[in-house]
Amino acid sequence: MKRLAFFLLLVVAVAATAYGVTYYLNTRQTEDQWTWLRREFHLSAVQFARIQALHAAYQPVCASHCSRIMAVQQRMAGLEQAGAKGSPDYAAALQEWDAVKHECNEATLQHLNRVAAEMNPDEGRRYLALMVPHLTQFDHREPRGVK
Amino acid sequence: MRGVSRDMMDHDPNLSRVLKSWRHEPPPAPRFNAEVWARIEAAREAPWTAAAFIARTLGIPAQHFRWALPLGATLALAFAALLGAGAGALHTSLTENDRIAAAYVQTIDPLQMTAGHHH
Repeated sequence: MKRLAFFLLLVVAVAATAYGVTYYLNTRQTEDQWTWLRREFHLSAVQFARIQALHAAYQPVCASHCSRIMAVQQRMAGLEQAGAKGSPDYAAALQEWDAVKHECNEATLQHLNRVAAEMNPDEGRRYLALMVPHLTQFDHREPRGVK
Repeated sequence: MRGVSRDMMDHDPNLSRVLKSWRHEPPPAPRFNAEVWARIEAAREAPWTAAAFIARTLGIPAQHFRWALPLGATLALAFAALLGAGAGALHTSLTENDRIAAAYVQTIDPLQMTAGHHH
């Protein structure tokens, strides 16, 4: 009985070690995002090139949104430091912040949809299902973009 | 009792002679030692152990039973290693996709790119 218990423990230890080693070795391999995107969603060379072009075209839009976000954030921080949180200026900044957030989310979601549209339909759906939940401030009650 | 036997021997010279001439000669048994050890081994691996029961159920002959147990143990360990490695690979595949997806979205979501600055 003691030998059987020891053996069962050994079996569990071997399984746990194999799990740990495999997990460690697999997570050590760092794959470039583009390589991953191409492999994971089985993109052809043409699809991959179109998606890269979409990404390049989106960069200035993204940078413009970043600038606007930072500008609004700086304005709000300045007003907070000045103790003007109850002022009309702060309310206006807050309103602008909400508008910028909404606009950024919409733009990002639109970009994701454009990328998904370049993929095969099943892969596109899978892409959106994987990416959309990672968006900031995304309203998960409403699965926008996932068709 | 002893007194009775001595009296019988003393009084029956024929019996006394027969007893003196009697010799027991057992038949020759050249494999006596080996057979004794075989019985000891058989008793040691008595069929009450679960492994012996399984071996008997599977029809493994007694002379091979000695090898069946380590072989079964090795197979069980190999299976455990495969199972663990498979689970590790599956878990990596699931979590890695999510991790890379999160990193990918971070590169296209301005709100996440500027998250360190405010709010």
